[in-house]
Amino acid sequence: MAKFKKAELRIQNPFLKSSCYAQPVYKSFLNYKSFATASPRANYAQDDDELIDTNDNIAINEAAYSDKLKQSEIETLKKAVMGMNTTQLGPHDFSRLLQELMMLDVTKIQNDHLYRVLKFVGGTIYRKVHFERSCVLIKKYLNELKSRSDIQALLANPVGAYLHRNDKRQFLLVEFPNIILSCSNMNLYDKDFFESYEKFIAYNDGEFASQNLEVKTLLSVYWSYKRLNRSTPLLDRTLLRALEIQENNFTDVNYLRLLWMVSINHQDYPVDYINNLVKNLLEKKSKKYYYSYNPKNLFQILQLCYSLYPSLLKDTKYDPQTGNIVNRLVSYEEAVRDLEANENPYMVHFEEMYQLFAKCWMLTMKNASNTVSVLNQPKQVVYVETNNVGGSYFVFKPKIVQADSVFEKNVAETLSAMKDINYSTGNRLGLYEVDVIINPDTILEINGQMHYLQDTQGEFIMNYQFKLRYIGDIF
Amino acid sequence: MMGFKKVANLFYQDWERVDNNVEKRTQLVRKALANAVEIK
Repeated sequence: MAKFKKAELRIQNPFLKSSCYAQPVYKSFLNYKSFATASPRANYAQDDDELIDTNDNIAINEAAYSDKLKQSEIETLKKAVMGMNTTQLGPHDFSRLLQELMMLDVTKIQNDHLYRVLKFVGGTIYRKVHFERSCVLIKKYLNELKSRSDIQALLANPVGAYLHRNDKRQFLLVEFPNIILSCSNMNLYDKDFFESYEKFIAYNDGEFASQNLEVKTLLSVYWSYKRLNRSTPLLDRTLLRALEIQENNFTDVNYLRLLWMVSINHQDYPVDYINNLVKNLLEKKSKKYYYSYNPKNLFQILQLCYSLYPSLLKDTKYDPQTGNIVNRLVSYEEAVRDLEANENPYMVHFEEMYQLFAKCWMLTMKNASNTVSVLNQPKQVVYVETNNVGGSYFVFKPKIVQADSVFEKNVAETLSAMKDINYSTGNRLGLYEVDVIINPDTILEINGQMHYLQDTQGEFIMNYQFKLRYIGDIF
Repeated sequence: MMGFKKVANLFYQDWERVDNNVEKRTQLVRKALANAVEIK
């Protein structure tokens, strides 16, 4: 605890006014990692909620490759296969490694190592920096994997393989979901893998999956399918059952992710189920000594509260005549009046949820959770609450900084050259930011590959379904 | 008070294809706006 106090940066002013930046910013922030859930972690750290950490070291038997690959190629493969444990490489090294992996003759790589490369590229935080190239690489390795006869047999009958082939169990329980999650991270949909995995989960009406797959894995897989707008009644049932069986393993983060996902179409679930999830989330959160309002948690809390209590943002408006945007949170009394008039079924815990929403709303509006410039250096700021009484802002140097893309800048230049178009950029509409507003009533979205789903042949599938639904509801 | 009615999409692949040509880029933006879909 003493060490933690030394490392933290206490800021008296909750709105991060410029004066607070004069305080020292600690370069080393080792203690932060122990409790904040979404800090930019070690360079090759995987995203907490997205991939399964098997913690097993896989070694490459160089002799097996000696007559297939050059020594330098074996070294490249080694880096990627062992990548999850490497903390030495930076974004530029990652870029070089992507190039080298792209040059490898994939037909000569063993299955185990193909999985590992997929997991590595789909899981590292640097995939966000080199998204397009990572995407191309994933497609190449995935298509190679699919072309192999043993994998084809496995995909055709995953349940049979699980029951009769002990040597395939590791693949089905660990590697297979990791491939699904890597694809999902890269906004890729592969029909063969996704459909086959659905079959595997469906085994014994989901009972097997709910007992044998970790809660974290189930939640991540659930989101991978839900974001494709696929009907997920089986996954719903499986998760519900997993909630019964593995309730002791559910953490506040698990409850938050689950509630966030089901709140998107909450009307399809029993009211008691949703109210119970809200209760459990609040209970688990209240028991935590530290609670991190990192960007992911913030966004999910805001979105789920809005889905359950739409009156919260009823005053958020856009006026096409003047171009004015009003982002206003209604008062507690006003919200209660409105929700009760609409017979909202989730009022049991509304008071706590309103407080939570108000806090997240304030943090989002003040950009306190995002990357800010401190003394001309980009810094990440995250609000961490201590034992539910007070909080601190933590400032640290981010591993990656997501700046405006060249694409966005080029579009802005083109728009400014079009004299007949009246536009504005960088606007926030309630929960979301939109790229460009073309007056009076059109939104223009600038879509790099990170912004939409595609299949492994590169065909566009969909984009922004939740964002558009939200904007359509409110504005 | 009226709100947003349409959303238009510009895609990186299309943008990349027209190279650094202002006229073609302008055309692409106009095409995207013309193909804007209604928000339901």
